[in-house]
Amino acid sequence: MAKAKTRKHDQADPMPPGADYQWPAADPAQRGRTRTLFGICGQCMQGDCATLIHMQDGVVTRVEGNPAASPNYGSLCPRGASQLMNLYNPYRVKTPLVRTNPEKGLDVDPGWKEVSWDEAMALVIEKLNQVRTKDPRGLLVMEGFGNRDSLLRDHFAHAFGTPNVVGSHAPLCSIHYASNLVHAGCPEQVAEMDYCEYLLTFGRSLGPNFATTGAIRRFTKAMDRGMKLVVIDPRCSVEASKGEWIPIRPGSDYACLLAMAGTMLNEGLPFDEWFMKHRTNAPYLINPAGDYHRDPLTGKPMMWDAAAGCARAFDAEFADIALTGAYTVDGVACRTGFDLIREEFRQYTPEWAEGICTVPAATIRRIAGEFVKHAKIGSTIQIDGFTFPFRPASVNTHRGITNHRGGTYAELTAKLMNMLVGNIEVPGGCVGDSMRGPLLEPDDDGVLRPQFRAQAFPFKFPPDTIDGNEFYPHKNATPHLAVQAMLDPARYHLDYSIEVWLNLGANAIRKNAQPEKYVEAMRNVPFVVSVAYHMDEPTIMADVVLPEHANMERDIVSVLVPPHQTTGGELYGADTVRVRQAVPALFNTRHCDDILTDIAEGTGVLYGPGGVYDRLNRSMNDLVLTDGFYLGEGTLDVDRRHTREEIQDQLLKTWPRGDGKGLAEINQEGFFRQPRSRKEFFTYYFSPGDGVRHPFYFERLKKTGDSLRAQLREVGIAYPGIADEETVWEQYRPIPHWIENSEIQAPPEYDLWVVNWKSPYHPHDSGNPEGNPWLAELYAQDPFDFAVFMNAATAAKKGLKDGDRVTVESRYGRTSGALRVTELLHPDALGIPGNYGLGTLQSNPLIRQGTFYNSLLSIDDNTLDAISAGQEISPRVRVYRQEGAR
Amino acid sequence: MRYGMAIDLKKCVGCNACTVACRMENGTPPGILLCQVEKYEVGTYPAARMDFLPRACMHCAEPPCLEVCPTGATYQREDGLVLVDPRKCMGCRYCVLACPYEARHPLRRIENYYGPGTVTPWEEKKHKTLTKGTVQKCTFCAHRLGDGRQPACVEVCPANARCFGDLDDPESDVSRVVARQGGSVLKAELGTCPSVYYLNS
Amino acid sequence: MTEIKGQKHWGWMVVLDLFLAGLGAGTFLFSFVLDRLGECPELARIGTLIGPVVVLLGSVLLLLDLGEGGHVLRLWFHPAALRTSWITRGAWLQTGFIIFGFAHALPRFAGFAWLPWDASGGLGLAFGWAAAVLALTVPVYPGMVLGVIRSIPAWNNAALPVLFLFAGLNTGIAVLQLVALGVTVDVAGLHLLAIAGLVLSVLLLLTLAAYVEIVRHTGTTGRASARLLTSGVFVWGVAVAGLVLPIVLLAVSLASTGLAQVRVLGAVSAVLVLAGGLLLRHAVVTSGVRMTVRSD
Repeated sequence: MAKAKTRKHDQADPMPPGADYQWPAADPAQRGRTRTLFGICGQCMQGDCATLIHMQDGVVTRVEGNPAASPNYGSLCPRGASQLMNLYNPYRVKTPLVRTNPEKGLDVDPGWKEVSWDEAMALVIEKLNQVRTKDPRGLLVMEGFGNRDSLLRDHFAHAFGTPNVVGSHAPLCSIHYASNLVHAGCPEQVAEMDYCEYLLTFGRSLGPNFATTGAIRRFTKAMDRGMKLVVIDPRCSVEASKGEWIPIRPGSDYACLLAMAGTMLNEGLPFDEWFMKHRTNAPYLINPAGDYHRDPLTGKPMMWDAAAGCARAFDAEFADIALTGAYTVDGVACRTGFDLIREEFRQYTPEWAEGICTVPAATIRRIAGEFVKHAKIGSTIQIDGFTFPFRPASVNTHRGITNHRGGTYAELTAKLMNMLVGNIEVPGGCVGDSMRGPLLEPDDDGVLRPQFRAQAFPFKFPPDTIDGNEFYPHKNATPHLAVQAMLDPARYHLDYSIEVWLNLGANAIRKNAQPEKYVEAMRNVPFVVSVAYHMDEPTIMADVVLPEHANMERDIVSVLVPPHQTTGGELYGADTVRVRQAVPALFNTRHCDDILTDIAEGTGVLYGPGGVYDRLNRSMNDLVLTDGFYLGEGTLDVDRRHTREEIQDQLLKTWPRGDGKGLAEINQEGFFRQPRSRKEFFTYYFSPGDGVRHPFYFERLKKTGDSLRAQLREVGIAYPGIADEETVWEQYRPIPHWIENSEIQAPPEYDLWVVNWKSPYHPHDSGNPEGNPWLAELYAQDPFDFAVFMNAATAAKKGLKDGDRVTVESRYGRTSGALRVTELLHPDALGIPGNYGLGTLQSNPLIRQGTFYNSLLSIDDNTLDAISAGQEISPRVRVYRQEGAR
Repeated sequence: MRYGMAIDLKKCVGCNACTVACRMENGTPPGILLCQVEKYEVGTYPAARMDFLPRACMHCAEPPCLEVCPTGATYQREDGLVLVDPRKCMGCRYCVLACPYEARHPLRRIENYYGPGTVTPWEEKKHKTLTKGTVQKCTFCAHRLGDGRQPACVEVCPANARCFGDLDDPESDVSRVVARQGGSVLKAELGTCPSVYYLNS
Repeated sequence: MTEIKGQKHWGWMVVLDLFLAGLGAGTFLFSFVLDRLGECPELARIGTLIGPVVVLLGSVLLLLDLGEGGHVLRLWFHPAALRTSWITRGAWLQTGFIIFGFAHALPRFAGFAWLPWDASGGLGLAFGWAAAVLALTVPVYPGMVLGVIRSIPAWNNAALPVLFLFAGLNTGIAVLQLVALGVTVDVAGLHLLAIAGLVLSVLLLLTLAAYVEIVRHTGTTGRASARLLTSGVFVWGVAVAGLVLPIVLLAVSLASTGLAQVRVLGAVSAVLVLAGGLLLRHAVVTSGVRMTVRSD
């Protein structure tokens, strides 16, 4: 049984295969040959940066940013600049493998037998056909940031007949719901850095902290032109070091946000009255049950016309929309949503928040005031001849605040602040990083039609999905729910079990909480296939290993998707699609999509209606929709096999933003850049004026909760895994209110809160940065990385010194590491950066080093945010010196 | 003609992309960082922050490494570059000690990044360009300048923190930015006259 | 992160060379002087040979350390560096000393009678004088090698060449005191050595104090070096055991007339002085703390 703790590589351990790997001599046919390939970096989950890969004599000698291409314009981050060591990694899986030892574990030698591709594929296809006959839902496709290049993965799963495509990467970064609801864009909303003058940021990186090129470019330009930056964070990050740092107790940001919003609502600060009246549902009349009061005739929500002294359906002509007030309509005592929210927030004073989050009340008031002042409410700006509201201030939140119980509310509260200044989807404000186009459409109630996660997943019983869609209808990816269901199907009312686990680019063991649970679940699955780059945790648990190309060996074409950290700047005014030309494969590996095509063919789901090609024809990218690839019905002949090149050529030629050029042209040019008016970057442009109302009163959230509760009652079950159902329903109220996360009432001996941050060397596992020795040399000696960090005063109080070996223990797990004393951390916080540690018997020894933060986290349903199902990322911990260790 | 660089410390985010790009360009083995970013913690909680100092060879106009070199291996070009001729260097490390900027690195062993047992094709190829027993240093990527390229650390920097060019040409970007922002040099008191200027230090 | 570390580029081999070069030069110099004065002829004869032998040994160690393979020969093929580099100068001075030292010393030893000159006459004596003059520079030049490095305050110090000169001469005496155990020397001769040793130890002690004081007052880096320099090993090893104790022992020996007693006291003092001398070089070399690159 593998223990979830960090183990130093031990001399007694046998060195993994790879440590003495003898590389074959370079192909003599390549001698004297110099070539340059177009690349797309894969060293973070975004895969943004365009590269040039220089080869000499068959060896990649250098990788540089493509100077002509956005978003990096010749630059790279340290991981991107290290990527050739990801290609030349002796610890890669080099040939198909089949297990001979039935005993499975992270530290158990599987007794690999090297087999041919034909043998391995035959085995996999046979098992898949068996499960498909029995119940196709028995196939679990676990996907992740390790391979975001597959075109066919989801289509294969759906053609196969399983809804169980689960992302291994999401429960520590549940950031989607609020933006999908308020912006109708996915994945999230970010600051617009070309015009923003005041950026208030909570629990997130703007790029520099974990080094993403485009975001750093935007950040440094914004700071250079004098943008004021306020970073509220337990840790003084790179960003905080360049702006104003306001330390906050971990996990308490929600209180601070409530108090800031409370200050804005109740302490006489100006707000964007036009926006509130004409572009939100704040004036909608709410009945005593908390629902919209609807026009008895039309069923439409109503507002009060103060001039006429009567209520009308929201889409009627209004002389003066009343934002506040109590009105009796059709005999029902109604109040405006705005009033109800204002009243709820009266209790959230800065003084109240200070006691929870430690940010001084005066600071909370000052920041709220600055934010409103810098928003320049009422001002406008012209872009390409179109007049936008100009709101150069934004508050942005991220996983640091969303990943706690109540975290969705915290993010919604930040949304309230943004809406109060009217900065949604306008220059300088808060802008989505989804497709740029007509996203802002009203629903029947005149309120923005939500997208993605904010569309509730339909309830079905018994549940169809292994990962809890039915119980968490707005959830992000939830491997933690899947693993609980696999360990205890009855608890989640499942009437089938997972028979085959197909792992592709995923590492659910290392990337989540309680790794021992995942190990146990994988051990229980009868057949595990890993499409693998190296011998990581899921791969050593596999029955069959199908080795895939390294990133640089995988050819792809890809649309440049707006990035996560910030937006704006060089992204304006164009749509871009790029090509990655493959470096010749070094080993007996294959492109993941070729593997999937063979599996699909072998299981009979490749061709015909509903097959993989048919689905590919009809599919659009979730994030960028028509800005992305769209083949269209019938483009690929669904009855014959297609090469990757054929598919890529068609994707390019049918690209809705393109001009019909294909693979031959892009192989010459590296990328296609289609100009576009800069005003189209702001989705406000597509629905200006009072065309749509953003939700200020979160009626939809309440509706989902009401409906879920009713359906559970109908089928006669309790909410699975939850001790007290009220703790779920209280998070479905339409107005954010204070929710204590699972850690606030922890026993006092757990006196610190652990925090984690992405580092420039190790932000995601994409591209195996932890095992890259170029990066390892840097992270190991970086004073701000690869250690356990504690505030100096706190350490002094505990009698701990720099360099002490300490054990860190939460109520859920423990880890250990070398203590580093710092001034850059809140006294109540304990910092563990990156995602180091764990590893397997056969992994690169580097991966086994470092402090394994994830082992401190919990997958207990009661600790999750009820809306996103996000995991608590700042559990309370205690820290003590390891006896006899220094 | 005098090549020089200006590094804007307000822009630098300490990501070390320059460090890695330099390694890739120059093929240096583990432990040899011709370019590196020193990181500091400044102030006390809560008025604390990180500070970064990216540095490599300063290509001093008055290089202390040059005068101590016992074999004439270190030389200064007309364009200001301070370089080492590996055919002349004996590896005595006197220059390493004499350099106040820790910009020189003795190459006593050539190790491999994945350990002693495995030499990647990249290392196999690049290590041939190194001479064991000599001193390594930043060359401002002299081999690229002829092609009109900038040093690798300049091109790779995502923050655009570095500006490179001819300090003797008042019209060059680097001269202008230094003139406008008043750059400072490290250890001016030693009289080494570095060609690397720091902005917003 | 407040740990102070001296430079790591030059280590024990350089320390040994500094020690052996000073010791060898000192041995030669005193032997030559004794020879000129006509005192302790046998001791002087052996001493003049020990000098160049030891310096040669030190040089070989240094060259092994400084140069990879045959690269070190490059030292002698770039005379232009004599204008600026103290290592080149030192190499030439040291080479000159070794050649002249051997040229002077060897004719007095069996097997070298074929040499066409004699140690005490004409050409041989000229070689001796040349070697003696160079012997004065051999302990001093390492002080210059280190002294010109301005980024290491503990080295960039006018007292260092003087310190090394006295330390070299002092260990030279010590060598002769040990050799004296095995050859015929009278009490007067031993007392002469003791007086020289005593004077040098006192001078060295004073120079050392001055040196540490100067280091201590040259900025934070200097203070950091001073902290390394004034560690226990330094105070108890170099100053007390290596200097104060020998001063006492030599003073006692001067008061004595018993040959055996003077011999033993001299030899014990000599061992202490040699150990102290080695530790001193080690302390100076390893306490070379660089200024931080960023201005303090």
